[in-house]
Amino acid sequence: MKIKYLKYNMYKKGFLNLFIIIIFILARKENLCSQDTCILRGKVLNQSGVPVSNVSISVEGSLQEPVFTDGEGKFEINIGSGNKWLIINPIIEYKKKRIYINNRQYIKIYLTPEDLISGYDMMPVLQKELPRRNVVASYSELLINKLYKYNSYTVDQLFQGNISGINSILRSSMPGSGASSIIRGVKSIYTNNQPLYIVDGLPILPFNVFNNVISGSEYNPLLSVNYFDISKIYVFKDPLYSSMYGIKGSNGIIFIETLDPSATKTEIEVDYKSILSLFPERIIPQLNADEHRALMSEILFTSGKLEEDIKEEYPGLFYDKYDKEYINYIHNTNWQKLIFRNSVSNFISVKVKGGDEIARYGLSVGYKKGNGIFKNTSFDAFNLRFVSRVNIFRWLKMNAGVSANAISSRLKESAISKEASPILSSLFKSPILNPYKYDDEGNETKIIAEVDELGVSNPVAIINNYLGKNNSNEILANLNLIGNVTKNLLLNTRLCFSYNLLKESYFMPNHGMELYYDGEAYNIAKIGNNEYLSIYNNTFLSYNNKSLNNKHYFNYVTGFHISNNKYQFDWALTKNSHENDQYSDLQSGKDYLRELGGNNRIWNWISYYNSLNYRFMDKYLIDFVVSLDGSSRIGKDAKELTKIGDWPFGLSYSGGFAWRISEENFLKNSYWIEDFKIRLSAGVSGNDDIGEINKKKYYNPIKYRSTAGFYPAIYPNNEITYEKTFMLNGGFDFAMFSNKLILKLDVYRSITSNLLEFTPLEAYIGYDYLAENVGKVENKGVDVEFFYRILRTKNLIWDLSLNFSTLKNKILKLNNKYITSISGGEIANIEGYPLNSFYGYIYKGVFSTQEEADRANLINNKGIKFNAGDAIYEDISGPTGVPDGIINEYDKTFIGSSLPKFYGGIINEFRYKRFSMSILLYFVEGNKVFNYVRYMNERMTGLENQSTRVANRWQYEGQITEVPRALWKDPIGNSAFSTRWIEDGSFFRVKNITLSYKLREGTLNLKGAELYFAVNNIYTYSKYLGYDPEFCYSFNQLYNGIDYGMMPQTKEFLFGFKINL
Amino acid sequence: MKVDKLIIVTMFIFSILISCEKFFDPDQEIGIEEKEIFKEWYEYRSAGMGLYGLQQKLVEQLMVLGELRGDLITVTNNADADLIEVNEFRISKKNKYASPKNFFKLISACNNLIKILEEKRPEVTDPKSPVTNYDRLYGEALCMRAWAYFNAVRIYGKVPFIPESLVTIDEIENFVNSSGTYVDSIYIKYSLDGYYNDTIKNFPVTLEKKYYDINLIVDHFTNELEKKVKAVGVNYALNNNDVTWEVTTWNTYAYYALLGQMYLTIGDLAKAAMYFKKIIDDNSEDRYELDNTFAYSNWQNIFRNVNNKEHIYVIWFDKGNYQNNDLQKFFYPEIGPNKYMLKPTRQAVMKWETVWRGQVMNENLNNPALSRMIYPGDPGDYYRGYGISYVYLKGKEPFENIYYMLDLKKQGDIFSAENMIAGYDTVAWKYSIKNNGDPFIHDPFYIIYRAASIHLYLAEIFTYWIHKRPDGNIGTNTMNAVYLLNNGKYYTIAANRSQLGVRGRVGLGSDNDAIRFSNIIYYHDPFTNEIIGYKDIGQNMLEKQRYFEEQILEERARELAFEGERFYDLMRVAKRRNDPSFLAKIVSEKFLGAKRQEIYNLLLDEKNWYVHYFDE
Repeated sequence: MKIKYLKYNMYKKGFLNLFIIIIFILARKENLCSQDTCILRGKVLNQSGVPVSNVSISVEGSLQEPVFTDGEGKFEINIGSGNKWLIINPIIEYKKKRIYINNRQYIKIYLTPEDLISGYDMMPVLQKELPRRNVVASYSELLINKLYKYNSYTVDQLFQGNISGINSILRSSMPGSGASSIIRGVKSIYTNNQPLYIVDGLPILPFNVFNNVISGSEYNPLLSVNYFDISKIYVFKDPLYSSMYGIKGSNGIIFIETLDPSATKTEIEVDYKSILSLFPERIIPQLNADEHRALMSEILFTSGKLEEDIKEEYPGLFYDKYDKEYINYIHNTNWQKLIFRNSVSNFISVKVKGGDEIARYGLSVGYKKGNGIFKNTSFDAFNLRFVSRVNIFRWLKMNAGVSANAISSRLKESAISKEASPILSSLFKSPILNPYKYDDEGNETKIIAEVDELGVSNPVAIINNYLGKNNSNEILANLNLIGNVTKNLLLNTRLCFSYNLLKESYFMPNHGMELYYDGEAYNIAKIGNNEYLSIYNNTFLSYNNKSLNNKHYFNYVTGFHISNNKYQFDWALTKNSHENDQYSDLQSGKDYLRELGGNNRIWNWISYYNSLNYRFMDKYLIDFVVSLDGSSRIGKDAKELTKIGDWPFGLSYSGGFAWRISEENFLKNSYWIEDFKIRLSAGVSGNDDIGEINKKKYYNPIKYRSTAGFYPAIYPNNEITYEKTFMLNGGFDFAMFSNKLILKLDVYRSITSNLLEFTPLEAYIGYDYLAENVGKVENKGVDVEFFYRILRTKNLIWDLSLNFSTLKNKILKLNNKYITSISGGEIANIEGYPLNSFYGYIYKGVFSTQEEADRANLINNKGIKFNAGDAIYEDISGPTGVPDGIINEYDKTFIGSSLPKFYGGIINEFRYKRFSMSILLYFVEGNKVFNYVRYMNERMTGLENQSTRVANRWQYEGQITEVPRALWKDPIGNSAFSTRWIEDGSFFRVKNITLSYKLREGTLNLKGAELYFAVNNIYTYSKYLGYDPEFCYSFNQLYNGIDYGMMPQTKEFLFGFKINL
Repeated sequence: MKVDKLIIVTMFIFSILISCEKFFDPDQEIGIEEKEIFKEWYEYRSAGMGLYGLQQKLVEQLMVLGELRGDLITVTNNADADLIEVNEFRISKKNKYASPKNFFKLISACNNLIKILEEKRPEVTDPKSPVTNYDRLYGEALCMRAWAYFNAVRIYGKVPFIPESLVTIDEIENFVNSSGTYVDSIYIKYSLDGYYNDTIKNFPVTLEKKYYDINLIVDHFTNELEKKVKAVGVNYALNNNDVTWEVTTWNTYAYYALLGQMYLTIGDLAKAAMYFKKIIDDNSEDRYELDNTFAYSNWQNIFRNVNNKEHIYVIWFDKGNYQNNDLQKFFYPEIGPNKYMLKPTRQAVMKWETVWRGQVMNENLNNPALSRMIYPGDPGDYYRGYGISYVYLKGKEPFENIYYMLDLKKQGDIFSAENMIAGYDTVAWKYSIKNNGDPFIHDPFYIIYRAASIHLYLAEIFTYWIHKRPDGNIGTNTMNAVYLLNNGKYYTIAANRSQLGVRGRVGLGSDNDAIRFSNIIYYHDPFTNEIIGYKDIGQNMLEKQRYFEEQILEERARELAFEGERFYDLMRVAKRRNDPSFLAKIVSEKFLGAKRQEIYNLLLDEKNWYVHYFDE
């Protein structure tokens, strides 16, 4: 701990000294214009070097009339004494500029066309607005005006391939499922790793709070934001931003602004989109009827059952054509074809904006009707948002907004839920069977076939009769008062209220389905209700001063956030109501089979923050942020924290410095350089998602007979504290030829310490574990964003954007080695390896001959010998540290991480007259994935159908193959979690191609209209053996990279239009 | 100005929240915070109930370690690696049955309650104050803690001893890891015959500071229980119609049974007998005499319903109240959640199938070689064996022709008999019987103490126990052992109740089929019951005692199979004989081939009788 502190101090002192020295040295060099009148001559040009006439040029703060450029783009202006700022205001086509004269007598000014990003565009940086070029920290912007053409239900689906530093993985193609978005690496084992989303100033519900009852369904709080309403999205990756949100900010912040009621004239916009999602192109090749019969008899042969018992248990395999049931066992059904479909989804959204100087408003109404590619899945969302801006007095403004959403979905389960998963059942169901029954005459009926002795649910029953419902409602209201106390002092307070409700239920039916709960239940009904209420206030004073001799500018903000959050979860489950499947309510089940449970949480947060921005002569930019945070989750005696009153407060702080080299004397006349600055920032922020009860001495209820008892539940830790991330970021911004080429590069390294761990305690202590802050994890990487306008002629524009990120994650310190069992495998957290790595055996193939197996002489953990046809696992170690000939726990090791080495996107955009086309390519490389579906589909341990890859199984002495023999229940462990199931998850995808056409203004009396057509996922290059290499079971990073059989991504065709009235 | 007001109001709110404890430490609605409880009796009672809830979690471990290491249970092909390790006496620390965690969770909860009672209800430590429910609860917690330590030390050989005064992790760690050795001189009255002047062990015990061995544990906790317990067993006024309540918590009889068991284990026969006799000689209540309540075909009801005529202390389970255990899952064929990982050994099955009822022997006492079996009787312990303790199943279907099969064996046609049950799984049935073999209900209760076991313990003590008569002569008690084991004749405590004896209760107590304490031991063919040899041990009292002790052990196997005590029974007798090979031989019999010798050799070293969890 001490060493870490020293390091921080060294960093801090080092920075301060560096700033001071640089400022002093450089400030002395400045030459002031000594005369009273100084004439500045200059020339204004566009990107191609063509002079631009009629551009207004004025001196900031001066009373004289602006001058205009002449036909050659030239101008002359009296700038008076001293260094001043020039305001360049092109009337049309180009963006405004504000240039520091910087002792120049002649100046060349290049203008940026309106369709490009300019450094003088203002952007909201937390509690204030700054021109982009003066932002010290690293951030990315999502250009929403281009992205409305995508197929997306939530905004998180848009990050992928469009910006750097955020590893975004679409969860599935189920509408509304969203994407896991992790900014600059994974920082925690047990807490939330998703960023903090701030929508219109309100931090929304964290991703990991709600609990879902349907496997594979996870509530996405971003559903509360209709993405047609979004006007701005910024992704803040830098420590400077994180520390502004103190102990909530260390996962990065995504800032979303919705309807912007800034226009005074009435605008109406109608958006419509229709999407066709295709049946998956790649169907997993399964054994056909004959092959499956052969596999079944081979497996049954290894079961050790007597032949007459097999005949009795599996009569269907032995019927001859005179048997009545014979007709049910002579098919060759391709079950996968029965669960998927082509689906159509439609979006419509209407926005109205208007008002006058006193009051303005924005109203948006949206409806989305999505359909998944599994039959009988759907998504319905209704969004309403109203915002207003009222100037109450000259000094007081009010923004008020309210939004409401009602969303309902029909879902299917993922492959974790084996009995009800459309994917697993369609793979497992034997092709010899038919989905429907036959009547006595041998005619096919429309009655769903019941489960036969092979025991796999009928996929058609899952599609038709399994009910998974999900209803959510969100209400957000916020009121924002902005008062100008003096000219430079502003008081701003925002009060927000949000309420989220999620009701989920499923009914697993009886007919055609396997039994559930190990055969105990023939039907199950379950419901889960989540409720979240949050009240939030953010109040701050902002002081702005840019006078001071035109050289200095500073802005100081001080304020606080305070929030109160309440969460409640209740669930109930019941089994075995009437067999006819008509009673899917909770009351109908057997009373002794009912289960219920729930969860209540309350947490509070308060943060007092200060930020200071200082700018000197457009050359040196310095930012400081300090915040002091209190949280109800932190233990009373948390170490390293300051106590105020009785309660501990954590300090977050950061500092940043940028040096605009392009304004230095040796570069200031290189006008082709629009902006070149280097940036350095460092700071500390935190994550207090450490649970509310780890600090409490509390008792857990436990039942004995019919009474309730209780026992001490955990060993409380009064010292529990938040996870703390220190990040160092260095980078540069480089823009040339008036933003024709922009390059942003950032290198970062973050160390998260005080990682929450659940350290196992010695058995004699009497408690399982102690929650404490011990571990340390490191993330480092490079984020690059590049833009280049390759071509611009009168009719044709070609823009290239590129973003690229690398990532390296490593656990530096951990008290223990943590192995977590998940369905099908194990996930490990081990010092020296990436977080949440796959942990298992190393698979080296199959013993081809008995002699080979005898030579290896390996046994498994039950003492059974590996023979010919069995898997070869590497015997890494034993209890004494040397290989012991036993394949057991000691031979498990790190077998891959789901984190990519690098990822990025390439966007080409062409515009020809009114046509435009954009192509988005996305790639990800170096991530390993666990193909759970394949693991289930190639195990050969029972009578389920399997993939054609098992046709190559070991069957005779001397056969050389990679697939072990088929073995009833696999007592030897041939299908154990190993590198055999770990695949390369890298892929390259042509994610989107959009073609659009803008109608001429005034056509059909419209202010504007655009038609577009897009194809998504048109081509994917991947070695992955499943449906699609992209999937994400949960927002919880633990499940990252595991293919639990979610609805796969497929090709999509999209048609849409936007009309402005 | 309005803005000023705004500032003032917000600052006010801010300062209020800062000073408000509810903001930084809101009461969570889940769980029960300590500051809210221990104000009234029912909260204490709930903390007491919590102990039983934790005790339930030990049941699988107790059964697996107590039985799978013995000779009556073995693994099937389905067994997981952990069970195989237990079966083969190579239990690693990672083994889920090896972890003492659940013992210490229970101990720590006991410590917590004991400490709270001593602090908040100091009268519990005052022996003179009138007995209240708090005293009874205190007694329950003390019994529970003693029981947990005693069971743990039987398993691990040595355990860290954590007094209730230690609370924080640091205190516990410092105490446990403090250097030095623990030296104590315990005066152990361990004598073979229980005769106090003939004490055979009296030695100082030197141990690492960290651990208590069985001698220290028994010494400490017998003392503690005898001194501190004023009363045991809270009076269940609310449940007074349910007589089963009492025996599903610690009660006076269970308290005696625990003390007796502890004394018996370290060989203090006199003390052990005193406590056991308090249970079965107590005529004040109508219980614990082996009368006809559970006789013959009613014997199986011992596993169906809790009843205070047989059960002294059982751990209750109830599916309706979400209290399940995995006992049935270990044994039941693979239907539903059941795994069929453990099954009765052939040795176990033989103990029931080769018992003979109603045999008639023509004994020639002068020349035992001429003794003949006139009528071999009927094979099979029908009241405790097939269909009750074990069963042959194919899927859910039981084998129906057990009598015919045993008869075939009696005829000598062993091949046909074996063929009849080919393809059937041998299934331990005691934990399935309660719910009539429903594969989905997993709530059999687990018996800690019951009357038959106490009778057999006492019989074991009487076999050896010598006492000094008032006239100065030495008297033996062996006949009492014979009575208890067989038909209970002359050991009846009340005229209105007939003590049937352990064997007598299931129809094996008549003179024809009784186990005799005689000079001549006959050897029988197990399948035909013909006499195939004999041994005359008339001159050797010790050999007779040992023979009888073995017969009691066999009877314990038949009566108490799979109830978790088998391995400790074998351990106790082997220790009494100071002969590890006694245990090694019996246990290794269940293994085949080279494994048998390997396990035999392993078990010759007493150290391997324990789970080496606390070894460095």
